Amino acid sequence: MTPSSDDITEIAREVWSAMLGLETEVAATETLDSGSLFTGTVTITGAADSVVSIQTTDVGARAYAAAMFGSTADEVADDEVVDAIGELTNMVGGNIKSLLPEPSRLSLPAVAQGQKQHLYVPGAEVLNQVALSSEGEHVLITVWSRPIPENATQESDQS
Amino acid sequence: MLALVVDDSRAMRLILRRIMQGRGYDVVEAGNGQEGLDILAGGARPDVALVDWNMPVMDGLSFISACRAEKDYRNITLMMVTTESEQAQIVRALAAGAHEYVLKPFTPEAIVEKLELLGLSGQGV
Repeated sequence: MTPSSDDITEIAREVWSAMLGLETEVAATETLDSGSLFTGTVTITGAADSVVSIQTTDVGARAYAAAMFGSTADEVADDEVVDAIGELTNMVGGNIKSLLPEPSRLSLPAVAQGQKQHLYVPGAEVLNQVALSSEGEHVLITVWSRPIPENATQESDQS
Repeated sequence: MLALVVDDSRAMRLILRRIMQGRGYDVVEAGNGQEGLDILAGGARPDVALVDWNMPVMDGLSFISACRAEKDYRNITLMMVTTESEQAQIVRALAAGAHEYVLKPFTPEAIVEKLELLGLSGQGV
């Protein structure tokens, strides 16, 4: 099972629509040029060994956090932006996990903020990447995957 | 009526708080399962607890198991609200004592629908 671009786009559309009340559109970009970016990641381990990341601009992250917290981009605090990007990553990653081999386990999200970030996942290849636009800001969703050794012990316990 | 929201995301707690307050509930919040148990140990007796699965310190499954092991907490209706969609995990949560299971992302209507199924729809304000 491999998440298709349509799968990822639909998952993001549902998350943005249900939780933020915002629309998303498919965008034509492979990189985010803005200086300051937010990147959220979750890892999926077990029958799958994958990483899901969501990357967006500082402006986009603040707009999405404001939508989640019911405030404005000017009012939203830095820790609220981190919380919102982490939860968006959790929801998108968790739903992408449902398209990957089972059983597997979803990590807690991690969020990075900084200038011109590039995320590297050693030993993994990009399984799929989609670019979306919401509120005029780009969102890059990337799914990496590493090969699973045939004799690997599969862990599914969520605890 | 009182609802306990257990989720490590402040944004998610706020979203659930608004939904529950819209149904006339008072709401208390916890950032993980242990904080939820601490609130119960302090005497709070919510009618319903909305519980995330994947949290630091104590996850939602452990919280639900702990609630079901304590007779004073057995009247609390437990609703899991999570991204965890594997069938085996859903079965596991229900076997541990969860009454309902809601997948993220959700709409407010989905939460209210589950509350109605449980006879806990509140008043709607």
